[in-house]
Amino acid sequence: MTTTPPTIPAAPITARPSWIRAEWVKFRDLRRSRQLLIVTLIAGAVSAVLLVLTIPATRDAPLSETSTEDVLSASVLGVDAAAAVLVVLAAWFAGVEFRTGAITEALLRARGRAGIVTAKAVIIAAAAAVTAIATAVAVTISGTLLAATLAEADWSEVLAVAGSSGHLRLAFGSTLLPVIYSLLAVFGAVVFRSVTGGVLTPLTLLAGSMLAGWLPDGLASVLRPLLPLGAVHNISGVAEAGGTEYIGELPALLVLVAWVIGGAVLAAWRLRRQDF
Amino acid sequence: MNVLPSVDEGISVRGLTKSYGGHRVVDDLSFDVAPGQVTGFLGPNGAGKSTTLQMILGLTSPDSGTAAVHGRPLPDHAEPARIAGAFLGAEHMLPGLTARGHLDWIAAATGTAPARIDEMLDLVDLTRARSRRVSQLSLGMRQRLGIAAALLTDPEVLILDEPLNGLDPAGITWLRSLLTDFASTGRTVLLSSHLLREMELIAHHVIIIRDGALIADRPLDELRRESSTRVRVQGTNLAPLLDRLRAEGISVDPDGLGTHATIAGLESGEIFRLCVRLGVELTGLTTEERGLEDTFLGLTDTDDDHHMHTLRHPIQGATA
Repeated sequence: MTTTPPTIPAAPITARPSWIRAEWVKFRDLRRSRQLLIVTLIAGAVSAVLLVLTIPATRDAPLSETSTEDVLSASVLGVDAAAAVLVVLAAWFAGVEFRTGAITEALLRARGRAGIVTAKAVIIAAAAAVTAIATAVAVTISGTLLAATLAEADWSEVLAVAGSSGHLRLAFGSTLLPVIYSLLAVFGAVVFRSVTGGVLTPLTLLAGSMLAGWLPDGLASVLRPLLPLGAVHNISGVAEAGGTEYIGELPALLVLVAWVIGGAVLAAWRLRRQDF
Repeated sequence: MNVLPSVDEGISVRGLTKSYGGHRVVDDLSFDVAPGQVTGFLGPNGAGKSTTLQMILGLTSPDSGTAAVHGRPLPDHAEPARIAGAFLGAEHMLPGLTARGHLDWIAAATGTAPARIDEMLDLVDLTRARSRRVSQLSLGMRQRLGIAAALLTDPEVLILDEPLNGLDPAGITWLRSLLTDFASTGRTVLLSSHLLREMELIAHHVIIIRDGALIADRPLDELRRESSTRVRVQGTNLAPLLDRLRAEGISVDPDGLGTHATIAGLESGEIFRLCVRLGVELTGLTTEERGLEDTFLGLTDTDDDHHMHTLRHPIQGATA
């Protein structure tokens, strides 16, 4: 390196500080975030194909005798596989800064720590939403192709089902799951200051939803709709009226908003109280 | 608690105390860092330097005391990044980011013009490495990138934690020029190190701590002047001399055979006259200039012998 006496130029301040832009720069510059987004799409599409191809084994009926609605709804489960990868991405993106200590670089330049949590959440929510919607489109295309070829359904019928309001609600309602779980992964990573904490937070809530399903109906009908999975099921139409998960779309939306706001407040509170 | 006059500019630390798990890491620490000069923050590993810097930067909450940067705690400033730039270690960067990406996000977060990024990369001689990932940079290059990040917002105060690690001699010379230039504009520089030899090349003033407490706070030149001398003696039977010196509380360091010894705190002439009086025959008498490094080690070493030496030769101006 040169040993010429350096002259430090004065800094022109022209732009408005933006933590959301700062987090976007990180997200865009990190190779792993791009890799995981591609893996998300592939995992969603491959899972959709596998889930449709295993229908004969899981439902004990040949594919040709399976309804087009069932084939397409099975393919939409590929969005859940995408959710798993997005949760890992979100937990890694928020948690890696705590693991490496890089979070201090952000904290010492921030007036309030809550802004950092909000910016990370906004970037992950946007990335998860775009990727989940792309995955929903990909799994629907996969399901449509499989229904029209392997299941031997009529093309016009398959396209009609794929474009029906019921399927669209299921497919795009399901995209809420990766978005919500990714946000919870971000908040978990901040609260526990680790990637593992970020991954385990939504997994714990998912396990809680499954356990709540085994409870007596009275208790299950109180708990299940209040958990993120149950709320998403209400919006995507999976929860049926009269079932223990059912509370309706608007209350379900409010439940999801409460989870997101509650998680953000908890994460910001923890970040403010922590020493680095 | 130590009470020193507060300063609006620079850094002002008052009664800063922090404990972890019952162990006091920083103990009632008070000092000022004046603008216009480079101040070295010295102490052995584990002395509490990093914890103190973290409290100054608002990353760690003190149990008691205050740390003000330009008159108030750093997080209380409307734009902390405009007040203080900091480098806390090359490992505090996302390894997957490119060198430019690392500066790019900081520029976005602080509203700094993108053109400044290229200026800083040029300043630290990383323009050609701009697209390389942090994980692919050498330690010295990461140090320079961290310093570029600290300077990016053109702050009034620069706080650097062990910035000399990984820098080659040319890099240290470069950093000295850079920091001297920065301080000459009336701004404040505080940098920590556990190596006085390298700090000697950069700092004008030193603050030395040990076990979280202040040991010395004074100009480096003053400390250098007060570095004492040691006398090395050689003879077939030094025992009477050494016994006499020990009885007077003077530090002696004999070898295993008793034929050589190092004596601190006495001039060679006094030792010679004492030998004549005691009938001790000397075959050698040499004066060793005690370096600044030895003075620093004497101040910061917790070993009992060194501690005794410190107590016998307190550094003037130390307030702890």
